[in-house]
Amino acid sequence: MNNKKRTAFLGLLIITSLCNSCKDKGPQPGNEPKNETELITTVQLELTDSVLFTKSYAVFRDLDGDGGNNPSQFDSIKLSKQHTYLTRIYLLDESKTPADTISNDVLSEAKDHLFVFTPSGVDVKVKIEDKDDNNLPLGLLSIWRAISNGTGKMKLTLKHQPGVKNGTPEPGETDVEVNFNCIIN
Amino acid sequence: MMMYCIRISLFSQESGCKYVIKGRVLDSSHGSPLTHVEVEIIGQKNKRSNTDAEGQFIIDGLCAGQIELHISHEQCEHIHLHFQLLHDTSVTIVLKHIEQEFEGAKLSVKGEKQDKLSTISAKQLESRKGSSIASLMLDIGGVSLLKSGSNVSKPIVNGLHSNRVIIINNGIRQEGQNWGMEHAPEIDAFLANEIELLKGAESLRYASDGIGGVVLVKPSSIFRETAGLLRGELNIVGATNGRMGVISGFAGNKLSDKFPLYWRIQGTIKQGGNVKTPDYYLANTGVNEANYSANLAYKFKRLKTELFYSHFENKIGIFSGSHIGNLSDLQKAMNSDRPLISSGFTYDIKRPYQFVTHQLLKIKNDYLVNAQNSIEFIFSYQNNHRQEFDLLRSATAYAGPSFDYYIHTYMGDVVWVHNDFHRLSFKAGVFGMRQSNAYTGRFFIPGFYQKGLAAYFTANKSIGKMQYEAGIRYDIKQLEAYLWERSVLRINTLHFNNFTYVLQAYRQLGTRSKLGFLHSTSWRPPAPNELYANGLHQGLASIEIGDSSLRPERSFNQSLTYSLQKKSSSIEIEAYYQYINGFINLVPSLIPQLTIRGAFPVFKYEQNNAEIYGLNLMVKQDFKKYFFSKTTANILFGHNISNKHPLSQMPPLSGKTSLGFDNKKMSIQFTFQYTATQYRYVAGSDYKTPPKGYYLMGLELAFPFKIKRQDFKFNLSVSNLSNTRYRDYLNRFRYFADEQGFNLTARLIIPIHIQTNT
Repeated sequence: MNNKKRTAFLGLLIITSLCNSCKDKGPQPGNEPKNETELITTVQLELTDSVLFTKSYAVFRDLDGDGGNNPSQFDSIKLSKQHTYLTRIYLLDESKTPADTISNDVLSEAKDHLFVFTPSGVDVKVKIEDKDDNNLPLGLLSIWRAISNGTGKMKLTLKHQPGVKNGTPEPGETDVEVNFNCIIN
Repeated sequence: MMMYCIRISLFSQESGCKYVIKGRVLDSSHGSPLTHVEVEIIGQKNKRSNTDAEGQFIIDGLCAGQIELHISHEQCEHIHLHFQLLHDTSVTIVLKHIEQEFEGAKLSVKGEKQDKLSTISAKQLESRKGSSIASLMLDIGGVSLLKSGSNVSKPIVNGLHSNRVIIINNGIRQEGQNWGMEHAPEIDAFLANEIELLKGAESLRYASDGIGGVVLVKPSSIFRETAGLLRGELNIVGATNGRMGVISGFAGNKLSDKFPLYWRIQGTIKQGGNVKTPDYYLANTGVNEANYSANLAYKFKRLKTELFYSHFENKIGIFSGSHIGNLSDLQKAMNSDRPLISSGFTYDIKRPYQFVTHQLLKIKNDYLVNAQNSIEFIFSYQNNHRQEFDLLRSATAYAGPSFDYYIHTYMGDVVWVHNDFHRLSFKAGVFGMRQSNAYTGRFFIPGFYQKGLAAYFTANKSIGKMQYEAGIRYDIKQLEAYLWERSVLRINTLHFNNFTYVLQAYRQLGTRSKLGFLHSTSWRPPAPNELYANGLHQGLASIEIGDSSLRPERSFNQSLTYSLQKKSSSIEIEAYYQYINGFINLVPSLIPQLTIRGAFPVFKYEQNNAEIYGLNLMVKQDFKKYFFSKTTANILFGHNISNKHPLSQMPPLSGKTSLGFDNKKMSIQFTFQYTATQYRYVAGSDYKTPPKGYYLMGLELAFPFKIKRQDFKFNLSVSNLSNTRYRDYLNRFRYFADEQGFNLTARLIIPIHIQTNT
């Protein structure tokens, strides 16, 4: 009898502890899914003409990230022949309000990041102006010189190179790769 | 399930008022004694016994009169035997497995020595201990593995996997994020005592959508525990590759015969580090696992009630070299002979990794109405929580999971089991389920509610040399998908209902061989990922897009089986042809999608008519006294009928031959395995041509030993003996790295038997 009671108690204990462990329900399908993961939705190039001080912009914007809808904005870069530009890159997460400026994170982790500029079909000389703590190039700030007339592409790549950055584009994985149309006239 | 035949011989003995019933319980196929059979006199207290190693039992102190003997054994239906007790009585009970008589995909008689095409026995499992649950299934005919690196694997049955292969864990349909190719079944492999692939009518009890098959992972029954004996087992496994260690054990007991409360507890801890190919370590391929389960049962006179709870938890490192940013990274990774991320050995698991917990709570009641009829009530709850941690874009980025899925499933089942061997045996049941699935993080599939109701009837009957089995099931399903788009909710409700049937016939050809034919149909509504997926596969640099207009797919399956069982040899052949109407398949789309990380190839879910056919073969031969050989081969063809293209991701031709020696004191086995190149693929539909075929060798050594009174079993196995460099077509990481090299695994199994006083 005593035995019976003891086991019944044990059984009850097990069942209650089981029920407790099932309590963690998590979100329900009707709740709007939270997405705290960082997203880069927007690449904005700000080009400042070194002579005229005029600013022009080229934007790539894909608000819902990879997959989903196609990019809502994808501008061409327009440059004038024989002009020099100071180019600043802004990376934004516009899926949040207010928008998050991801390029600030890139700046604070400069030694893990590198922007790579690859022109094709257009003659543009790019020189990276900013450096990380190890004196390796970063690329948020660069000087572009448009040499001659032409139409082609300017590919902008952000490499994430934690612990392996050596100033070359080779190591690491790609966080951003946008191939802008580029027109020089 | 068993059927029975009983021989009673009465010995007239002049004794007083006290009579004795003694007897033996034997297995019909070999005449070998059956242990752990419970024999009980109904309506008389304490009149019960368990058969010993010789299959013998004895019950004394019985009075003359009408007696009802109740005989029960693990995995068997109850047997009731009525007779007039007038003398001391000796009984021989021959238990015969119904499977031998009827069951669909099963061809051969059951017994320790027999290997079957569709079942993996406890003994076979012993030499695989420490492997993942999916790799345990590999010995079933027609099963191959779909892998994502070295730690994530799931079964492919005759070319089909994921949503099309249903896994039944402990009688309950496993409900996790089954759709994902990189989502492995969340089951502690040490809980499996037997694994079986069901294709016949019996499978209808569990599912109507098992187009590839229904795999049963069966634990050992709690009711085999006996009073006065604390039974347990301790397993210690160590492997050289990945320097993996596993400890797993269980202990169980029946409190007393007076108070038939059964209990069992079980647990497993596993840790492994980076796996090594012949030339290099694979970065971040460690694994951690911790599982436990508790089982409690009580046996009333006619009611068996059982409570089972299990908790599974694992953390799996995903090979770092497989997570790439975009298509150019993928090209670079694929063009390199060695992974771009090199590594040494470590147990540390960093991003990317998966963290999954799975809990199962099951309550089962089994009520015996009379000798022929019983009713089962089963209720279960499953809680699956899957978190996937992608590589962090920066150290300051959100450090939580990138995907976080919660899936809750409630299921209820009532079955009426009628067993009357000489006439007709049947099962009739109703089933209901409700499931919710919600997520946070990056979108891949939407949250949803899913409901289902089903009714089924399966029956079997034997007429002369013919045995028939048939089943029918009707399902009503509802899917309510919650699609969020920038704070706007759209709810899509889809309804599906349809029927499924199985027809089977066997003909005995002489005493040793049997011919079987099966015709079945099954259907499967499109799954949420096939309907609504819209996102990037980090590992494969591809975008998957669902199609919300998909209709259910329906399959028609025909198979012909032949089995021959002789004393020293056995053959099993299975030939099958499956036609699938509206086969849902990922098809490359011509227009790549532009993202902030460049253009990605797009794969869309499409429906076509498809056919899959093939042959599975097993030949076993014993030589002399102690030597044996076993050969298995699988060949399969899959086509998209609409455009005549081969289906992608189909297993290539494979075969395996083992040569062994077994004298009961020791067994040694050498295995030679061949997997061919998959030539049947659509050129240009894959990033890389399928890898070359390969040969592998393996070695196994097992022997029992004794120290003082304690028994031990020791088992040593070597996989990839020659340290061959190879890649497998069915491994999704074949683009990036070689398969695991030489691996030596040692296993020590310590059975525990402690006499307790009750």
